[in-house]
Amino acid sequence: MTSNSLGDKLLLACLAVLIVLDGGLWAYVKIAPIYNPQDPNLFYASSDHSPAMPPTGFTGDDQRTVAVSSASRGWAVRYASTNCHFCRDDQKRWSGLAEQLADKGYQIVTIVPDSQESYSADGLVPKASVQQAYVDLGWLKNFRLSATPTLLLFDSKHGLIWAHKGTLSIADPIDAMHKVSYWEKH
Amino acid sequence: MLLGVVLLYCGFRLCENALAIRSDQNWSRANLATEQKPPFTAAKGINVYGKPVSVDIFSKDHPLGVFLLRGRQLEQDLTFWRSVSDLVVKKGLTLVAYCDGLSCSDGVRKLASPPPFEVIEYGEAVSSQALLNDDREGNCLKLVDSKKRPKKVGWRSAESTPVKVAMELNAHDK
Repeated sequence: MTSNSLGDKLLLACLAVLIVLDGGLWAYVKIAPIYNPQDPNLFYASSDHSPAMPPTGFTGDDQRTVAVSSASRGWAVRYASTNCHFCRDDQKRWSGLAEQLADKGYQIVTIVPDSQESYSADGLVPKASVQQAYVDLGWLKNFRLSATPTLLLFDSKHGLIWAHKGTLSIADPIDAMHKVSYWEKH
Repeated sequence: MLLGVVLLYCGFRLCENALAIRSDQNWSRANLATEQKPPFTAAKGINVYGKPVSVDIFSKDHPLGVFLLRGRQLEQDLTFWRSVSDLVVKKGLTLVAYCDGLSCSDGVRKLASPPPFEVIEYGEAVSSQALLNDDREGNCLKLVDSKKRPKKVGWRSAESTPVKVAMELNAHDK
């Protein structure tokens, strides 16, 4: 009887501890600030948020880059660097998304922060993307490219339809392609 | 007993969520650590005539001054910097301007007498954004050492004059 009562007390104590722990965890999950990858500060305050023409520029060896075709279904800018380990970590997911974007007729522009951080022709993803080491400031002044990798997607009317700063999560390519499909219909 | 199992299961799921949040927060911190205003390290790019420009060697005796020209007030900006240039160039300072867009670069190309300094139309993203940020605060930049942050010199305020800016750019910094 005594041992039963002791066992019951222990069980009750364990349950009480579990309730307290679960309560604490629940409260933490509810109130912890969750990082929002859609950076609200992507645009400069002075930017008028109007459609931005694709950036024009030059490669690291001073060759003018091919402009994004006006017949393109849309275009993407990936701000990335060979010196950024986040960009290397992101390579696999970006490669998958880039392939889907290319299938949709999107042209891809890779902007590097510094001409010394340019990708070799083999290192570019996708290989057909246009790399710019020197970029038109008229385009740069609209967007706050403060971290690599950053990905911006624009529709054929040059409106920004999706943006992501940082490495892509598993859900991001799906989300991005939803936006691409949505804006194709609108 | 059943309640205990349920509580353990809930605890396990909540732990998973809490760890995912911590991981996101840590990642965010790591990522945001690089988000301070990017430094200006060298004046490199393509000028308004399509020629490469690279000024990456500067020192206390031969500093570099960089500033932004705004297309919508190009004439005013050029007048100011032509005056500054007259006062600083003989003292070993190199001036390099950046154009803030097509209206500025078109305007410079149309000038009968080109400005006495290089005007970059296409710049490196980090340096260009650093300069764009500083211009929003009304500053130009003086560089004496590529490993140190540039010195900000205010020039867009009403009180600034070419003489004052030239004196600040010429001043020997400690």
